[in-house]
Amino acid sequence: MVEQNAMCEKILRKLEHILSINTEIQEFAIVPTPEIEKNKSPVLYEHNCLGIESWCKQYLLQYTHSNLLEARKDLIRNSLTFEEKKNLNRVLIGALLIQPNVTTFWNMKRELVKSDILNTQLELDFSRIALTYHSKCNEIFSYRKWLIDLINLKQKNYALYKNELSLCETATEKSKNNYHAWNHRIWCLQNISAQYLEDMLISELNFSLSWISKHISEFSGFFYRQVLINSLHNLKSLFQIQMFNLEGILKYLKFSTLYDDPLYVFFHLLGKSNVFPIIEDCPKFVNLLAVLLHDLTYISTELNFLYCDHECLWNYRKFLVIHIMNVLYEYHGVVFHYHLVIPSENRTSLNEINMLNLDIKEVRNEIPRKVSSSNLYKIVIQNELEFIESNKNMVNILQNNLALRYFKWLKCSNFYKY
Amino acid sequence: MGSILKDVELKENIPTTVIFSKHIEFLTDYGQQKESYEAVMTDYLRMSGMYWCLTALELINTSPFPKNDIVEFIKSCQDTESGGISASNDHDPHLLYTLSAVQILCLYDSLDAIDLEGVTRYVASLQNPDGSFAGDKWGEIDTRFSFCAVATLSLIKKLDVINIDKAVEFVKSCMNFDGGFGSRPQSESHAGLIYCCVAFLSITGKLDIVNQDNLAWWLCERQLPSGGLNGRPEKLPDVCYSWWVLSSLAMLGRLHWIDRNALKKYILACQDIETGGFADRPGDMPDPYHTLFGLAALSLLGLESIEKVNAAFCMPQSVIDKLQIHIQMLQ
Ligand SMILES: [Zn+2]
Repeated sequence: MVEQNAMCEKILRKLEHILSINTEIQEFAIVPTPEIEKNKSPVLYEHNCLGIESWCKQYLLQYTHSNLLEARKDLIRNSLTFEEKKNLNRVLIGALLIQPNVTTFWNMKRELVKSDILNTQLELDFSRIALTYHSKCNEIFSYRKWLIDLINLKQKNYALYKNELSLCETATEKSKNNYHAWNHRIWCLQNISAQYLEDMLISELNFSLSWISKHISEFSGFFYRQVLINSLHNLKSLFQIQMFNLEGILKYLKFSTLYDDPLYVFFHLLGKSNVFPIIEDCPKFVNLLAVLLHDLTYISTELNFLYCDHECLWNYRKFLVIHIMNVLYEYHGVVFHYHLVIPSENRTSLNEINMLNLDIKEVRNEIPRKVSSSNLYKIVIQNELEFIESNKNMVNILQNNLALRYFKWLKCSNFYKY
Repeated sequence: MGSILKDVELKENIPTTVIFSKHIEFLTDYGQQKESYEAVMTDYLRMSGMYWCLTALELINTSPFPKNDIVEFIKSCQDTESGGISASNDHDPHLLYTLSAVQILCLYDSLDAIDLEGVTRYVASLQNPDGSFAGDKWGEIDTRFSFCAVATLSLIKKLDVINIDKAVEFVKSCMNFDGGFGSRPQSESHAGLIYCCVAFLSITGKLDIVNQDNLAWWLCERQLPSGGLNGRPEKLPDVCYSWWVLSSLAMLGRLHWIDRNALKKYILACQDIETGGFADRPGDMPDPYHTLFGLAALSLLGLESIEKVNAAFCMPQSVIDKLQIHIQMLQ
């Protein structure tokens, strides 16, 4: 036991030392090694990569846990000396690199930050390193949010958020469907000051497009794009609309127009409105519609043919169609609440069938004439029906089912009328 | 291009009945090795681990542990200053473990053993002006904590100490267009968080704010050909999600919308016939967490040999009845 404690203390000192002299550490890992092959020192360090051999994990875990919990009350009571607090951080480093989901240990770090033993910038560094091995760990993201809020009390810092975005990207590359990492990214978007929002939205829209193309079966990436699109409401200018190639989109949708100006194209698509235009509102509608139509034709259609049978693509399509309807209704001054109307015949009480696999009777919807007679409405519904048709009766059963399910959804939605 | 279905295939020789005696063994053994490496690893969530084991055992009508030891342990985890309860000795108090502790005490009819006023004070102190709840004094916000707050207060009959309207308003702000809920405003819909939000609304009697059929549709989409349910699009089926989706459907009055026979077959297939316990997927390592949610889901599916479970609290219905607590269930 005494021997093991001495070994643990040695490991902790080494980890602490390396982290203090090198702020450029790129990665931490626990490397699987059987105990019989153990080296003299289980700490691995080369090319800015830090690791420990897996056999020492259990000794380190027991040692750090018992030491930290023993000191917990003293830290709260503030009865530790400066030196003792410093030493405590060394133990915390070891404990949190191995098992970062222990909230109590992060709280101890928070207390050390508050009493100026630890520095916020260095703590951002440390938690970044911990995240490279445990990229899904919510406690790490939570600690970072707390640190950033603390730094922001002094000044709002754009670079800080930029840094978080690239950290999130690494974490989402490492673990699929990393809910906490995407949430952290959304948190950055919600917290950045308004003056930087437009810049950030444009670069994030580009980022998310390329990310989705490479991760077609991760819905979190699609959801992030939905958040970005919903934020377009806050923009006041017509930003680089060319980015979305309106002309190409309209050609795709087989819509011909004599106008070049995006605003006039927009009016031609949506029809005459009694409540519009309020000039200040134009950019947001045009931007929003351009992105929605772009995604409907590019992401949701092109990618669907490239990568068959992905539920994510069909799900994202629903978002797009609903939000196009939203723009259309809002433009005509009609309140729109998307909801599904399930005919009572479809409410089975059988035990052996999922409701989504039942046949459905068509629902009769009343749609405002202003909406249903607009070019946009006709084009979009026609486009959806053609899209479903082209995916039905394929050899691929899964894709066929997704198409049938989507058709059923469309028929149950309160904006569908054919 | 070939189909890559994200699902599992059920083998021929899977269990088709509940192996009760094995589960009792599994759950009883679990809490025994106090000094082991595993025990240190899971110390930070011990209170919830106890809730999973003890509730699972209650659901199959067993309670092998001496009540006194358990109650004493919980008492020793209450922080006298804040009133909150921690996962284990010397850890910091947190809403998650405060709820687990209160749930266990309800099972053992021993609520009076702890300082209930302390618990009330603790929960109330964590509500923010926008209605949301922090998990502890350091301020992390999540709809999970909104659920923990109202579930705890409802069990100790102190719901009136928080601002319910504001709390509901916050949960509503976490609703997405698909009818689902995430952990914060503008967070992705996730079956676990949908359960938290639906159960929150069921306990506070505000279920009418959900879009019943939009949400039920999304929940039905979670069922895969194997019969199992996942928690988000294109993820693998998992027993714990079976519970979260199923209990949400139950509170929404839409339990009959999914293929219950297929789900039952999937959950039964996740039992480990050698060690007992349920795993997330057939053939994986079993644990108490999936064991509780497997049994609870089977209870909702009407398996008579398992005690009736309450969909919002994930506790035996008999315990909730005894406390005279009524939750809202939609038709
Ligand atoms: Zn699970």
